[in-house]
Amino acid sequence: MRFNRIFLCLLCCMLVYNGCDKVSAANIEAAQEAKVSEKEACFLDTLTFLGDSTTAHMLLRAPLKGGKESKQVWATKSRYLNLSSRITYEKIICPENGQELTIAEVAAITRPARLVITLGIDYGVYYYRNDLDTFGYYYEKLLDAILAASPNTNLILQSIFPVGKNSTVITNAMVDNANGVIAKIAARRSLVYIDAAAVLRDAEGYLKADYCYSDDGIHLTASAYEAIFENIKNYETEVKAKE
Amino acid sequence: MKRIFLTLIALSLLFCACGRNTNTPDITTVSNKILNALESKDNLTLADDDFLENNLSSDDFIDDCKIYIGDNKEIGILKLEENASKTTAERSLMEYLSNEASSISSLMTLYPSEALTEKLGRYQNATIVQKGRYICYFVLPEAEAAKAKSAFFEAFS
Repeated sequence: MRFNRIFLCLLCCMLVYNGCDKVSAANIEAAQEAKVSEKEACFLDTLTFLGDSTTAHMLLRAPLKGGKESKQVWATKSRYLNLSSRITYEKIICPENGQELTIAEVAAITRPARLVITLGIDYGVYYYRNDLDTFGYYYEKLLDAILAASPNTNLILQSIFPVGKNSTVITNAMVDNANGVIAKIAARRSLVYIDAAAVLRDAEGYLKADYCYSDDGIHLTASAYEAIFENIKNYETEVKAKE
Repeated sequence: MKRIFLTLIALSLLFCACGRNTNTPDITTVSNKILNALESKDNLTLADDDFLENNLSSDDFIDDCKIYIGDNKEIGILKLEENASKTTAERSLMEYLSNEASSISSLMTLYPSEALTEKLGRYQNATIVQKGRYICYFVLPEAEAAKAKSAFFEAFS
């Protein structure tokens, strides 16, 4: 009888400790998940975004810390930015002081650690559709200007986003061609190239209907930006490896 | 009689020399004169050689050139080669301005706005002036273009 009681006590103790382990394991797992989420959130928070209207609209619809007041987005006052011979003269709003300055001037002031560039849909994709060399030339002229102003900035090149069926002027063939140029530039310069097309396109290669904000087939919904940000998280290791 | 004749010849030679204006200002003088006449000069950036080469196809007739780019504004000061054709230079300039207007027009189909409409108007109605070896264009609001034009001609006085 005594041994039975001892045995039962020991069994209870074992069960209790197992339960504690499970609770500890659950706590540890939750803590790790929290750390991962915090880590992922922190990574996105370290990024600065430069681009044309599809980047400028992040201030309105992307899950950015700070929302419309976020300092992570570099955009022009008009919200479009043309990749053209004038790209290094175009003025964007400096998040630090609100002044309109060239991109290089803003880079010199803010010295972004990581700059994600998504550029071409407003002008370059169409205007240089038959002259991809010039498209690449001015794209790299911008990269050079930024690095001259802020040599330690980790430049990250993101693909130009696909367009929807409603896009009458710009086609996905033009977008793909331009992205081919950007990908090559990234490879040659050992920069990370983020391919956003896979998460944005439907089976026919168009921007998914749910992601299309405007009738022109170019601009994106909030859910599109969520998908883009989720995709960017997948490149964290690759981005950090360049630093 | 001979003395009168010689005096008349001397006087006519003197006046001929006075009439010939050999003053060709350098491009910095011309550009500074124009910029100083404008209130918005601080917002203008001097374009690099790459911009000039890719936009003006200037090898054949331009000796020197300064283009200033600003927010919906542009000023070009071109000093032509000694024997360059002013007609060719002007035609080249008009083609450049027309191309820029076309680009803006295309952009307007995607982003119609008052700012772009205004910009398009400025390129379509750019002021072009010529004197001596210089040809200039001003993509500016009307009042500023008038000031720039006056300043340009003053550079030669």
